[in-house]
Amino acid sequence: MDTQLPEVRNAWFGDFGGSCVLAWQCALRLPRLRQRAHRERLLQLMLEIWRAGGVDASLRALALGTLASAALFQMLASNTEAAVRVLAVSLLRELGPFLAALLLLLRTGTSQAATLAGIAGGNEARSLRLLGLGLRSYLALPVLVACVLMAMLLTAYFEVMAVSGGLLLSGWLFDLPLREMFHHFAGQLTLADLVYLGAKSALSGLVVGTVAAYQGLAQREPAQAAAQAALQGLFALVALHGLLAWLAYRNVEG
Amino acid sequence: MYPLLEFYRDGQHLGTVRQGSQSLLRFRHAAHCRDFLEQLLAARRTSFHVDGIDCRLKVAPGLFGLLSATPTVLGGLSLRDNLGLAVPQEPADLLDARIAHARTVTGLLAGIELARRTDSLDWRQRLELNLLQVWLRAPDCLLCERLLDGGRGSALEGLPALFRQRYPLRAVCYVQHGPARLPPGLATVIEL
Repeated sequence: MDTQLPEVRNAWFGDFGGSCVLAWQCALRLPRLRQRAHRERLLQLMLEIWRAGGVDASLRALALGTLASAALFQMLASNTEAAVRVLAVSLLRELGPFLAALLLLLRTGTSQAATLAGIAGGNEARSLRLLGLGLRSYLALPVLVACVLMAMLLTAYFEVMAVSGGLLLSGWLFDLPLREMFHHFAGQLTLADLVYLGAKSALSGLVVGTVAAYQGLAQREPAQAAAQAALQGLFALVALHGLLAWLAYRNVEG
Repeated sequence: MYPLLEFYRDGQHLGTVRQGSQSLLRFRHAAHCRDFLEQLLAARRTSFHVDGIDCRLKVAPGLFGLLSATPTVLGGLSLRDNLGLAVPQEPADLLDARIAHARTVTGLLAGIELARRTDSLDWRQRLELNLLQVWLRAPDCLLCERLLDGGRGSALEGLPALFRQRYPLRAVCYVQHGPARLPPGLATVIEL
């Protein structure tokens, strides 16, 4: 019965093993999302994540897109096509997803870790146990699923704002042909790119959600949970994105 | 009447909480009360030990409900959402009807909006919220943790009685330590 505090502290593998175990346990409990209470919590979390990250994402994305585009077009002023290609690889495939995930971690991951630590360490955890609601199924699972779904949504939103805003502003600032730039950019996008982006953002969301839920349930102090979630989440995201980049580009020549 | 809980010390049978009964479990210390409830609700094993007493669960832990003198609510949620957690599988429209019926029949939390956050409720209101949750869940046995402490037994007797009126064939079990005024109709006192 899912009413006890999860024994996620694994002495042998430390936090990494514990996080993997928690993610697996949550995956086994996915059918609980059919219940109204769990579904309502998931939707509430998704709304909170959007409110916390949506506006920030758009402003930062616009700024990033403009800076990246401006730098590239200034360096490759004579070759618009090359500049757009570099923009597609650097911003769309690598930098954009990483920054969206970072935004999710710092705005949502840390706050959720602190919230869960406050609940798990206090009387509210008892209240949940009394009602037969497991900490993993009611607290951790919605956080994981919300982070995965919202990471994909935020990444898509971030990319659209960064790329379109960057191209528009660069075209205006450097008096470049907008239609040609968008045409080159559209030509760079393939189905494989979209699949890669989707998988990357989903995995990033899973990392953020897992780290936040694990630290929230394992730590007693909310401040400590938030700090650990930020630190471990950052390392995990860097490792994940590095690994995916290596896998994607190891066979690319020149 | 089937047994819900059995207690033994050194192989000697101390008492049994049965279906439909009203009983009182008297522990020696307050910490034993809490330890007993934590282990019972944690659902790790069908038997556990508290202060050398062998406590044996004869039914699933999910069939127990708890009304505690330290009521617990999820402060970040509204009244409706807290009540909804008692029956997480219930569809939203049916839930609203059940909540309305429960509040009408019991008269508890009268005049408080369902959208109000529970962190603003006082102690008595939180207790009533917990009882409404138990009312909706309808467990086989209602455990009342230290409700008879400090002479406030008479003020709170009405709450378990409401449960008893609605579910006369379900058990009510008071978990206490030290002396306490016994509520009327109490059939069994088990000294632990």
